[in-house]
Amino acid sequence: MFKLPVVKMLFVVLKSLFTGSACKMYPVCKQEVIKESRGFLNIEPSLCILCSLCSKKCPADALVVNREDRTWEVDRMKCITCGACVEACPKKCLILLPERAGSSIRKQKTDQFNIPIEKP
Amino acid sequence: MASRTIIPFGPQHPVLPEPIHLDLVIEDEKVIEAVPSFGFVHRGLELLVGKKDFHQMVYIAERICGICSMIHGMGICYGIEHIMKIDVPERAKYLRVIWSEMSRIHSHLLWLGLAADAAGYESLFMHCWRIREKLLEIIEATTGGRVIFGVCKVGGTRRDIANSDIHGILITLKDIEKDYQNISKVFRDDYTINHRFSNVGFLSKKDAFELGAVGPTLRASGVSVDMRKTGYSAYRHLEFEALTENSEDCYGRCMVRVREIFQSFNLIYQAAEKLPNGPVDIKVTGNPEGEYFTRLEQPRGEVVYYIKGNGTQNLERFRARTPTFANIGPLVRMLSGCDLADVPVIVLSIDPCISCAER
Repeated sequence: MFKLPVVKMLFVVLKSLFTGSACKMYPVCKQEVIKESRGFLNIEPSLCILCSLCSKKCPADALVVNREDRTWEVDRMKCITCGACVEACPKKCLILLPERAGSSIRKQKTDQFNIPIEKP
Repeated sequence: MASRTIIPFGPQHPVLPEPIHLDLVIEDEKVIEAVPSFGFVHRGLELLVGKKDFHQMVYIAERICGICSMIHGMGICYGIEHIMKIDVPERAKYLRVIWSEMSRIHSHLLWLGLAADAAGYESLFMHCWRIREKLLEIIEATTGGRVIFGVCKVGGTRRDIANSDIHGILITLKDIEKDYQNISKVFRDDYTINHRFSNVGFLSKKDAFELGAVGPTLRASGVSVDMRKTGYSAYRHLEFEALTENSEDCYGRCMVRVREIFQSFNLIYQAAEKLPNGPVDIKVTGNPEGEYFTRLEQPRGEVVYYIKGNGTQNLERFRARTPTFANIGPLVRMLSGCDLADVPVIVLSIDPCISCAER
């Protein structure tokens, strides 16, 4: 029907004119978080038994588990949010949240969590 | 005889997303010879086999390249599974195919955007990337990552796509295909694009075959070679043909990619229709002992992995021959005799991925 390529392109151009911008005005319109996304590693300290399986499985050596001090540390700049630790955790105390780490995380490089002593 | 000059091209150039350096020997605006040099983004990933176990190497292999991450991960898993004689569940095979084809579509759309930009069509470039964005959202919703999929593991896949979600994904994919159909017409019929890419970067069928070109570069020269036809993963159950063009120039390479996107949509529909029920992974015990060559088809062409295990957790050797590395020889042949103004388009036409080539 339309042999001229200019006419074919016209549909795309007209559609773009009337559908508005495909970009989001970022600070005003926040990016929707996809809940399946691998974004941010978090721990529930009360469930952790300091088995250190997570740090053994971590391909980026981002996790440090210290049994003596009862601390669990994650280096946010090393963590590649692959989820290997989440799979390995026998107590299911690790979780990957869909939200991305904020930009201010750079100043606070390592996140340390104190693991409470298990009650008898 | 006109005097010869050497003009450096790259490592920083607007057309290059990644650094490669070419010394162009110029005589009267004609390139006589091109001498490539590498090593700007070498990371030594292959050497990490000595430090990381074979499960962790999958994550590292995925990070060889951002665009073909899925197929890099799948390649190393496929090799290790063959060495360990692991029978991967059928559903995992189909899921791998679906994600591989999604990765092929988003890689080709990215390339088409860059090609449109090289031809001076900035708006078309944005249209290509707008469509790609929708696909990336599907990828994020199914795998958890936009670029690094992270779903392949030895013995299957990490995630599953619920049967109830597949219907919605297919509807979105059909919308994307419809959008893409309008844009593909511009690449096919537009005078400027045709004029910019036709008769540029000529690579004859004989040269392409003898110099070991792979992927769309090879198929655009009329050689019908597609590693997916070897039937790895679930490809043996799907119907498709290796797409070839006979123009042997940059336009042919563009057309192969334009058509391959439709083919990939079709493969996803077929795989989704045939997707069997069942588990997506099996438990892996023991360590790999033996060696295996894996040949898979990435968006840019054939990739070869050599994997050697020695019975310990760490592999003894891991080596990847990526498509860009194979296409450098043909690129040098294409560049000799071309105009200086055509160099960016020719370099772009092989879809160079330097982080793949250097690892």
